[in-house]
Amino acid sequence: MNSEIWKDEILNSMRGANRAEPNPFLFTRIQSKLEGEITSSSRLWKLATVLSFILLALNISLILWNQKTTARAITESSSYLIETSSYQLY
Amino acid sequence: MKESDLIQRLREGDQEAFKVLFEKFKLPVFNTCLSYLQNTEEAEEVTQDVFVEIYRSVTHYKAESTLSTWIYRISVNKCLDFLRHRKRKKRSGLLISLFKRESTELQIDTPHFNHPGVILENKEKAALLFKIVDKLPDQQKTAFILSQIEDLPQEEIAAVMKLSEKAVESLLQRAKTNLRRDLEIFNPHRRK
Repeated sequence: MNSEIWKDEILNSMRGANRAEPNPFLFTRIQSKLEGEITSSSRLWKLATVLSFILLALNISLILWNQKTTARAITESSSYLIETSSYQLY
Repeated sequence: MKESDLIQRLREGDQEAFKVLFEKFKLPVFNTCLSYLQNTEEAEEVTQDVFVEIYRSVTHYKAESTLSTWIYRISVNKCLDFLRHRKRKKRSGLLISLFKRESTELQIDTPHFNHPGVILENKEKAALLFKIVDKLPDQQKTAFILSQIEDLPQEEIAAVMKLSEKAVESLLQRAKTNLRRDLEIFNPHRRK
């Protein structure tokens, strides 16, 4: 047999071949993979929401605490001014 | 069901539509993966990834190409990614084996692959074909698989590869030349 014919036979050996069938449970596997991804992504969202709420609460409490301390400082310094002014000699 | 209806239902997350899509494209996707990876388990793994990707990204699908072209493109890209990953793993395995005396019997060559759909008389020839196809550069391999194994028209191959038809024709010619050259080693009619 001519070697070129032999090469042609090799190159065309897949022509007319039947298609291979995948595992019959492949679709179920795909579905469970998708469900797993959805569950994990929703878990991630829940975690992110909780964390952002905690951060927000911390920020608010920090702002409130800051406001209180500033207010107290102002009151203290003003009372000190009153006190010092009352010791002044005219 | 019309393609546009199927896509619309998929975008709405309709599981029934996803099953219809799977039944329609499972054979082309799985067989393309099988031609690239030459391993049934790995081809199933990548087929799984392809359908997950389709489900996830169907909202981004624009009807610039047909659904079949889009799905073939995803399949080809996933297979090439998998092959690159496999190559990296082999390379690192080889490095490890250089330092470990026990694992010197590392398999570098692709094992003999028998396609389950090939008729008995063509089994050996097809196995040899897969062995040499595996050595082709990525683009030539894609052109050859889609044309000679998947039997796609050149127009669709061009759309899948985002190339002109002329470029695909040239890739196919080069692939065949390279395959013929590689076959020379195995040629039983070769003059010694």
